[in-house]
Amino acid sequence: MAVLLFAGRLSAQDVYRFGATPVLNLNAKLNSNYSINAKLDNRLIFQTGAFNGENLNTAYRFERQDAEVVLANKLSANTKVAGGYMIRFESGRVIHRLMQQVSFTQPLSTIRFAHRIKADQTWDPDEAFELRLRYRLGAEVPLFGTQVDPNELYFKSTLEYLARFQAGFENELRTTPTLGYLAPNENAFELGLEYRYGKAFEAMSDHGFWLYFGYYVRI
Amino acid sequence: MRNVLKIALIGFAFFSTGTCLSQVKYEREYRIKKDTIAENACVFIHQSEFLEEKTRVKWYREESEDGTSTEAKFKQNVKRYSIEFDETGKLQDVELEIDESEIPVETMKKISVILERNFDRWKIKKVQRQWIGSEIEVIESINKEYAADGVEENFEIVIKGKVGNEKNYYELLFDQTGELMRQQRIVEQSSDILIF
Repeated sequence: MAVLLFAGRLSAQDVYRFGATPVLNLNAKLNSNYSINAKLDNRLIFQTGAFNGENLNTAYRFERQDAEVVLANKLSANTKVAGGYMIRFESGRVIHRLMQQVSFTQPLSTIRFAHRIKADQTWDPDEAFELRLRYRLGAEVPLFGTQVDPNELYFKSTLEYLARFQAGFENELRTTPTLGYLAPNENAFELGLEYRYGKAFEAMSDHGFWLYFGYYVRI
Repeated sequence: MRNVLKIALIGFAFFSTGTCLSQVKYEREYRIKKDTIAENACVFIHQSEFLEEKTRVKWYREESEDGTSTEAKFKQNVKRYSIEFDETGKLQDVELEIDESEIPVETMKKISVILERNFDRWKIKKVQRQWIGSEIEVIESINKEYAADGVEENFEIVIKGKVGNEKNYYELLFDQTGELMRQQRIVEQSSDILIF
C-alpha cells in the first residue's frame, strides 16, 4: 500500500537505485534489564539511473558497510530505551553516527506492533553535520498461530518516516515488508524488499529498491 | 526437533519454579485443521447451538507446561471466547474476555490488594472470565453470558508488572472471591526482530 502510495508520486526525472542489503543482527541479553545489539549492514548496487532512461548504470558495485552497536535498557515489560554508535565505510570515507531511541511493543491477539522513536547524528568528512528524527511503526503477524513461535513463519512490515536536517530539510519514507522464519534455536531469517523514498514530495526525488536479507542471531 | 524443544522448555519451566512469583508460563499456540480435532470437541462447538451462523471458529493446539490441549476461539457479540479441551476432546474450561470493570467490586478490591502486595508497579492488560463446569452448565453460561448454577467462575488477569528490577508480563488466576490461585511470569517472545 505504502509502496503504491509513494510510487504514485514518481516523475520521469526521479532517480533510482536497485540493489541488495544483507544484514546480520546479533542480540545478547546481558541481564534481565540490559541487552546489546550489534548489526552489520552491507549495501550492494546492481543498477542506477533515472526513470526517464538517462544515466543508466548497470555496473555492480559494493557501496558501503555499516557496523553498529546499541545498548538497550528495559524500562518496563514492553518499553526499552537504547543508545548506540555506528561506523560506516563508504567510498574510502569513514562516517560516524550516534543514535538514541525509545521503543515499545504492543501485543494484540494475533498481531504485534512496535513503535520506535529515534534520533541520530551523523559526522561525514565530506558533508555537513546531519541530524535525523525518525518514527517507525512495525507489525508482526504469525502465519500459523497467535504469536510467532520457533519453527514458524511470520510476516513483518515496517513503515518509517525520517526528518533530515542538514544544509536544509528533507523528508524520507521507508517501508520493508518481509517474510520471516523463526528457527527452533530462535534465530530468525527474513527475506523481503526495502523501499526508500528520499527527498520525498520534492520535484526530483530518489527511490531505492533493495532486496533485503536479514539474519537475526540470539546469543 | 519440535518435540525436543517442547520438552526442553517445559523442563526449564518446571525446574525454574520455586516460589509463587518465580513460576513461569510458556505457551505455544498454533493453528490446526478441523479434521485433526477430537470428535467430542467438534460436536460440542458445532452442535451445542450457542454459535450464531456467522460466527467463525478457529482451532488451535496449545502446548504448555500443563500439557497439550485444543482450543476453539471465536468472537461473538463483540466478545472473544476461548474454549479449551483436553486431547480426548473433554471440555476443560471456557474463557471469555471482559473489561476490568466487569469484575465484581469486592472481588476487584481484594485482587488490587494482592497486586499491590506482590508488585511494586502493575497495570492490567487483559482480563478473562473463566468458567469450569459440565457441558450443559457451560452452554447455559455462554447463552446467558453469566455463570450458571454449578459453574466455577475464576478471573484470569494478565498484567504488566515490576518486582524489584524485574519487569515482565504476568498471568494471575483468582477465584470468584479474589483469592489468588496461581501466579506465573509469562515467557515473552523477543522483540529484537521488531525493534532493530
